Order: sequence, then C-alpha cells, then structure tokens
Amino acid sequence: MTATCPAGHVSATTDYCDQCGARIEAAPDPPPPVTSTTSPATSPSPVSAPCPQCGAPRAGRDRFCESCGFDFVAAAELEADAGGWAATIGPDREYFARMAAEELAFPDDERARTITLDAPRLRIGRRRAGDDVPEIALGDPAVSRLHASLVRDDDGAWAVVDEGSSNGTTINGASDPIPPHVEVRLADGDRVHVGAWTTITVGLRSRAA
Amino acid sequence: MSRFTADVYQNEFLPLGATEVDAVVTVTALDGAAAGAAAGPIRAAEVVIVDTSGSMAVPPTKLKAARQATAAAVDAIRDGVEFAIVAGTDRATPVFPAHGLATASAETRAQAKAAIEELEAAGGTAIGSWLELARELFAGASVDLRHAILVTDGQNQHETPEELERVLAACKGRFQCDCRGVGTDWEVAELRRVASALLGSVDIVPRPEELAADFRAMTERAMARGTADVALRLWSPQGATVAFVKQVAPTIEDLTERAVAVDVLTADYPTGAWGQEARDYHVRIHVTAREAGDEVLAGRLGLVVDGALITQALVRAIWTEDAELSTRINPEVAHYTGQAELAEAIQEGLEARRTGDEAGATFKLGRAVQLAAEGGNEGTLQLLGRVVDVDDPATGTVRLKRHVEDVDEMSLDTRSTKTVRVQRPAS
Repeated sequence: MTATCPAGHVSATTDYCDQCGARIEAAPDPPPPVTSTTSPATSPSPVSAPCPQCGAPRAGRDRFCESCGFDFVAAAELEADAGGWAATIGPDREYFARMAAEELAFPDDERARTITLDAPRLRIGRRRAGDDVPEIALGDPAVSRLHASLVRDDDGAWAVVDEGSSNGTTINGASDPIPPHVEVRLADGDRVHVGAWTTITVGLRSRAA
Repeated sequence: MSRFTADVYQNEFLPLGATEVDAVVTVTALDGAAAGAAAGPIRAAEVVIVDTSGSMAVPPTKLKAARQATAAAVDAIRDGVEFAIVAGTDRATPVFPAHGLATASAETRAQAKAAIEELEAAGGTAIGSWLELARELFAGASVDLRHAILVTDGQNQHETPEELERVLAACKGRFQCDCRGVGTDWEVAELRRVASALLGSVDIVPRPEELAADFRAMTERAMARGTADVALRLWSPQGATVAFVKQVAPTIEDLTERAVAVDVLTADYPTGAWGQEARDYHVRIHVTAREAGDEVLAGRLGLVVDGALITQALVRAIWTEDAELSTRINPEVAHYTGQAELAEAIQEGLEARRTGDEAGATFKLGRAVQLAAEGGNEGTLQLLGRVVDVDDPATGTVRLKRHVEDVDEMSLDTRSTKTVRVQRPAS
C-alpha cells in the first residue's frame, strides 16, 4: 500500500511521507477514479486553481476538492504521464571544457540517451555493482553515489534537488551550484549539469527526444 | 520473542522559522526480554580478561582480589555457556582453557578456578592485545551473545593509542565488554574509550575486596540478557540532519558517530544486548522550517531486534504562531539536557583542576553541583562533595577542597555519565 504526499512523493508509509515527512491526510485508498467529465490532457492547472470538475475553489494545496471530492494529485499525475516529460542524458563537451578537469579525458564514445520521467522521483548518481539504484546511473567519475534527484511536484512540474553531492549541481551553464537539499523548479528545455561532463536536458517528450 | 515499547516525549510545536526538533524516547524491554522467558535461554559466551601485569602485585591484595573476583565470575557463569579466562600483560595468555572456549559445567568451572589460583603478576600492559585474543576466542563460538569483562589497574603503556584504536575497530560489533579499573593508577578516559566502543560500562572499583561482588553482578547481568542484538533505526526526511542521538539513561552515551547508513534517509545505531530494562534516548534533528500550521514528521524511530524492525515512535514538528504552545518546555527534554550538561561540567571541571585552572574548575564544578541538585542526582552530589565544599547548591557556590583523594576524583570522573531518570508522576 502506498500513498501520495502533498508534495507529490509516492510514499510507502501512509501517515507521513517517507521522503519529505509531510503529513498525509487520511485518504480513501485507492484514490477515487477521475470521472470522464474532464479530459486528462488539459494543461497543468496552477496551484489553487478552481476544481476542473465542479468549479469550486481549491483550498491551498488540498489533495481533494472539498465540494465534489475531485483528486487534484491523481489528476496531475495522469496529466504528467500523458504530457510525457523526458530527460536526455549525455556527455557535454561545452560543460566539460568549463569544468576544466585536466586529469580526466572526455568520453568520446559515450552516446546520449533519452529516458521517460515515469516516476515521481528519479535519483541521479553512480551505482554500486549489482545495485539498481539510483535510477539514473552515470559513469561520470565526478558524480557522487547519490548526487541529485529529479522530483515531480504535485502539479506535474519537475524540479531538481542536489542531494548534498561533493561537486555540486549547476543549471543552464551557471557558474554557481544550486544549494543542496533545495528543490529548484525546472522549465521545459532546462539543462542540469553534474560531474565532470554530464548534462541532463529535461523537457516535454517531443522536445527532449 | 521479546516485547519492546517506545514512548516519545517532546513539544512538537515550533515557532515560525525554527528548525531544531528535540525529543526524548523511552525504550522499554518488557518481561519477554528476560533470558529464558521465551524460547529457552539464548546461547552465550563469556570471556573474563584479568590484568596480571607487574603492578598487580603491589600491594599483593590486588592480585589476590582479582583472582577471587575472577573465580566469583566463573561461579556466576551458568551451565552450557561457552567461556574462557585470559591473563593480560604486554601480551594476552589463555589461562583456561588452553585453547578456545570451554563449556561451563561443575567440572570445567572447578578446573578454571584451579588455573586462576596459579595466576602470577609480571610484565606490562597492552590492552589491545587482550581484546584481540578475546575477539579470536569469540569468533570461534556459534552463540548469540558475546560478553567480556576486562579489569585493569594501569594505563595502556606497552602499545600505542593507534594500535588500541585498530583493535577496537576490529572488535566493534563482535562482542560487548564491561571495563573495571581497580586502584587509582589507570586512566578513566582510556577505559571509557574501550567500554564505549564495545557497548559496555566502565566503573571504578576503589577497593580490591569489592571486586568479587562486582564481577558476580556483571556476569549475572550479562547472562540475564535475553535479546542479543538491538539497534535504533532513525529515519529523517529529505533535507534534515540528525544533530545527535544520545543514550541519556541509565548513563550518557553519545551514539551519533555509531550511525550505520541503511539508506539515504535512514541509519541504524547499535545498542548491544538487552535484558528486562528501560533506556532513554535524546534525539535532536534539524529540519527545514515550514509555514504556520504545517506538520511534518521529523523522525521515525524504530527498533531493530535480531534483524526485525519492531515498534515505531514518531517525532513530529508542527509550526505555529501561538507562542504559548511553542515556548512550552518538555520536562523530559529539559531534564536530560541538564543531565548531559552535568556530565560535561564534571569532566571539564576536573580537567581544569588538573591543569591548575582554579577559577575554571570552581565555576564548572559549581555548575555541576547546581545541576545535580536540580536533577535530583543524589549519588553525584555526594561524589562532588568530596571534591568541593558546597556553600549553596541552588546557586552553585562552591570552594575547591585543598586536598582531594585520587580515588574520589576518579570516582567522580568515572561516574559523571550516570544519570537519574526524570521523575514522572505515577499514572
């Protein structure tokens, strides 16, 4: 049995989120299905937008509509899946040049790959032999074992959080790394740089592919 | 199967912007945790390490007392327990049996006591080599519970601190060791280091003739433990840091450095074997501040007993603008914060006294008297009274005594970490 917390994490514990600790309100399990009056393909609703089903105002970031019981979180998840965000991961010569890690050689034979962002949290790092985490495994020697994570907000938007990596995480060619343990919202086409040469470009599937 | 309960004492309300969450967790092992209460007694091994360095012969009563104490420990080892006696000098020598461990019976206990009678004092002190032999002996035993007793009267002079550290690292988690210092020529910090690394107790035995009763009690206590391996498991959320995890009763023991990562958000803190007993823990976690009315789980404290996760306690944080809620001080947290400061004040005060800093010693030991009086630490207050003259315990006004017996100073130092539990109204 799992639950989804107000921040959109899927949690194995149902009282408090096993990722961020947020309190998970008592919710019927499984969540009620979204009725057909609304198309799942509508654009992501901004925070506290009125309920798409009955039009009643949404109280803060409540999961369920107080009037008709519409499940905002499940709808956003459906939408995110349908919207199809993806990430392209690969060596980036420009970023490598900026890092100027003299003792490392750029991996000429490594190809970029594109993955679908199909879980609410995808960890980025180096795997130990035999492990299947982190989900996004890199061979870059300057990447920490758990370096950063891509996390999905409850409104379907993606953010990156540095997990306290040794060498930091930067965005869109910036020189200063993002602060550790703080979620930084990503826009379609944003570039996340980790390690000595790796750039991860996130965005809607059509663009990233 | 043993039963455990965990109770949390905290003020979960935080003022806006606050990030520090404190909680005291009382863990109690109930009736089932006593040896033999459930699936029969658990299998145990006991090694007694007795210092036979040259100094043990001066005065001759010391070695005689050590022999009697070791024999008393042997008498307390119940039938079927694997055991060995080791003599320690600048190297370790098996006293009984000649190799490995013996299975306790009337016959082997008699043989062991005959061998103990032959012990003589000569040579130096290399505690690491004694522990290394104990580790090898335990490694050959297929038992659940491994317990050692170590008694010494001197400092670790015949090996470097690095050598001792290396052995301690190898012994950690392999067996538990209670340490006893006899006389006043041993070093408190050194023996505390050994006991702490090996999840055991440390105490001073001022008079050799008291050793036998102490050895018997220690062995009986070890034999009574019915749960071989218990660890605290602490989960804290993303972005949080665990400032410390301390055992605060019955003694203060900082467990923070013992953390063994389970995953990114979770760590285990080994606590060794448990009998039917209760221990208190003080946990401090730094979390990201949230908005008024927000509630998060700052910590989920579980117990891992023989590999299985049981009993969970929740440490919560709720941000509020209501100052009346957020400024309430939880009595348990306040009590143990005072107890930890008491231990520190004693150790720092004695250190200042040793280095001739009279003002610093007077201040620190005065603060210790004040805290001991507030906390109801009658035993500690008595020990303090042999080092300082107390004018007013409420304000901590004291004068250093001109003459202090070594044994009084060392007793105070060794027992500074002993705490009293918070007084709770009967429910």
